[in-house]
Amino acid sequence: MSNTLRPYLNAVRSTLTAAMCLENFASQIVEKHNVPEVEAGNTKEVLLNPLIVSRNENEQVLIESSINSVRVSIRIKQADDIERILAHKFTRFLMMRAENFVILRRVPIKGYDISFLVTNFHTEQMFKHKLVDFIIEFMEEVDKEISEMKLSINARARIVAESYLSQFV
Amino acid sequence: MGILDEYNFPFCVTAHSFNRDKSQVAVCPNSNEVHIYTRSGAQWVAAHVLKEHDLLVTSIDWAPQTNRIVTCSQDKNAYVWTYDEPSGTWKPTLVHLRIHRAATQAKWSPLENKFAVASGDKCVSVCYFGEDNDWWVSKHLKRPIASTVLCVAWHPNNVLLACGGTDMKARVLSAYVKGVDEKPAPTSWGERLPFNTLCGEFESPAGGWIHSVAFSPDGESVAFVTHDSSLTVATPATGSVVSTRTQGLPFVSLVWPDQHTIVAAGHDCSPVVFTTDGASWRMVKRLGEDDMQRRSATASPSNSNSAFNLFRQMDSRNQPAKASSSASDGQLKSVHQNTITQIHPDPAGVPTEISTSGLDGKLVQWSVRA
Amino acid sequence: MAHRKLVIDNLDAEHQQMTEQMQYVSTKSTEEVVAQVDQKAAAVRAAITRGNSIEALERALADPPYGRGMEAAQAANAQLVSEILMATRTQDIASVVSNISEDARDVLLKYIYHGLARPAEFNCGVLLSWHERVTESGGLGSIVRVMSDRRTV
Repeated sequence: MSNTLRPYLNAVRSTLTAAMCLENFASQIVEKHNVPEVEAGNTKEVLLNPLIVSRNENEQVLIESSINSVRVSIRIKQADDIERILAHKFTRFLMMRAENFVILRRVPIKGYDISFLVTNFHTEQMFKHKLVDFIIEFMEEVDKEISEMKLSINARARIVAESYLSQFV
Repeated sequence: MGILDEYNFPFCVTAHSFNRDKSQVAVCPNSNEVHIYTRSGAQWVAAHVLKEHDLLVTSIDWAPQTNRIVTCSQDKNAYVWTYDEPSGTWKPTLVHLRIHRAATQAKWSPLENKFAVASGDKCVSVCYFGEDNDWWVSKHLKRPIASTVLCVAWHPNNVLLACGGTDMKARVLSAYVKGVDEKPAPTSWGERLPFNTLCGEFESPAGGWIHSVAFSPDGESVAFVTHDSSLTVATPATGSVVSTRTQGLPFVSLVWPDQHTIVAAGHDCSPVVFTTDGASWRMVKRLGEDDMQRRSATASPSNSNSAFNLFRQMDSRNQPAKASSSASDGQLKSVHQNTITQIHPDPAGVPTEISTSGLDGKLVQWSVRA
Repeated sequence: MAHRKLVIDNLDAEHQQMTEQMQYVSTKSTEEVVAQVDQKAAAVRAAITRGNSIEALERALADPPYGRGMEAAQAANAQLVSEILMATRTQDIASVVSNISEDARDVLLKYIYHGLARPAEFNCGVLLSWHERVTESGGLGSIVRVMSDRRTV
């Protein structure tokens, strides 16, 4: 199980590090504007080829890079309905508080569960390798978090069922 | 070889330029201001703040002979600053750039009577002093540039100009201005060189934006670094275009201090020295790595402990420690801790000395002697 | 209000020109390229059966089909590369990677990402272990080249 997790995370880490080579770039479409080019998307030549790293069909990372910003979208593992609900709730909770996470995007890219947007202003304020570490850590944690929540939901359901059924015995 | 001087500013240094004797330095703290610092012992003391731009200052160039500073910014303007001795202040003169997008880089020509400003307006403004109007006027190099110009570099003959940008092509154009320049002697780039003559167009095999260009000291070749982590050197006399790919992250700046040495730096945080055997260019060393090892050895005698931490981390996380580029304390092994934004040759022309500035706030002077 | 959503910059002639310039267009016709890949396939499969992954990779990665309108040839070549990758034993990956040329290594990484983007068609576990070895020998620079190169596979 963790056999493919390690190479998966390593591949994401190296791809992210390679993608996060950003510099300040003023828009060449609108004067005196400075926008994340990966979001604007109207200057084709400053976008790089998007790369996808997947562990399987349900776990994927999409890395779209440009001259001054990189967008990272993660598809979180969702094996059954409970995990699907939990992942949705969890990411929604985070995204509603996106300003506290600095690099979190309020809305994920279509087909993914959560997206980050790193711009050159972030790499100027923070160390790049720390940003990469943060995203990797997030990916590790989110799986763990969801499976833990699932366990506690199941445990709770069992207790509820037991105490409910104990009335009848 | 190694570090001559290192100073840590409390802000990101996005551009820097020394004066001729390196007693003063102009730095941009990643804002719309330019700060001039004066050396006092091992310290740099703030002396002047040049405050005229509205948006981020993208480039600073201090002319060593004439002691003038040109700055350009994303607010579409460039200023030439001259030092006014009696009042002890720097006086700005606005340059008539006639561009409608951000200016990205400004550079004085070798004779310091012209300068070039690259811009996001898909052109390069070649500026010279118009005696009639008593201000700096410009001519545009427009054709065949297709996208933002990120960098410019002057040929030693003061006429040819190399530029490169996000259209993935490095070009050599003529910036001959009638009345300002002497007629240039024919070179391998061309015989007759009226303004805006295209003398060469090059690209790296894997494409990528051109982050920086430089002419060789003899002017026969042009080198550029691209966003595919490679260095390409083109020589029109022999028709050779040699590309050297590297294992690291892309470079953003390069200098060509002497005929057989190129130093490039960028996202990899350490300057890299390339040398040539006449045909191809080879990476020989990274500056500052041996120095950093020595430093960490003297700084932390209890290395065994950190090794222990490293193994524990490997064990608990089920991944090899080398997957992370940083050491256990989060420090990179290079002198700069973040992207190097600019690398400058020595203002007095000493070929073995260069200076770098980075987003980590460090301003480092290096010696590149082999 | 449809006109408000119109991006007029896209109608600019210069913009069109740039968009075309960004896409690599092969000088050969689609049929020629497909035939070329088919031709290669036999030699590559022979090399696989002989267990010679290095030769097979060098052949499969030489002159790969690039550009628009080459989807069929590209898919066929990707399948071919993937066959080689699957046939190589895990312990041999490192030595194979260090023995192929720099050019082939950069192209190989393009195919690895091509495969990783299609988890339904390719075995991601195998691709990930190849990815690890290739970036070990080619460094992060090879990933940067995959992103910046307009000659996509």
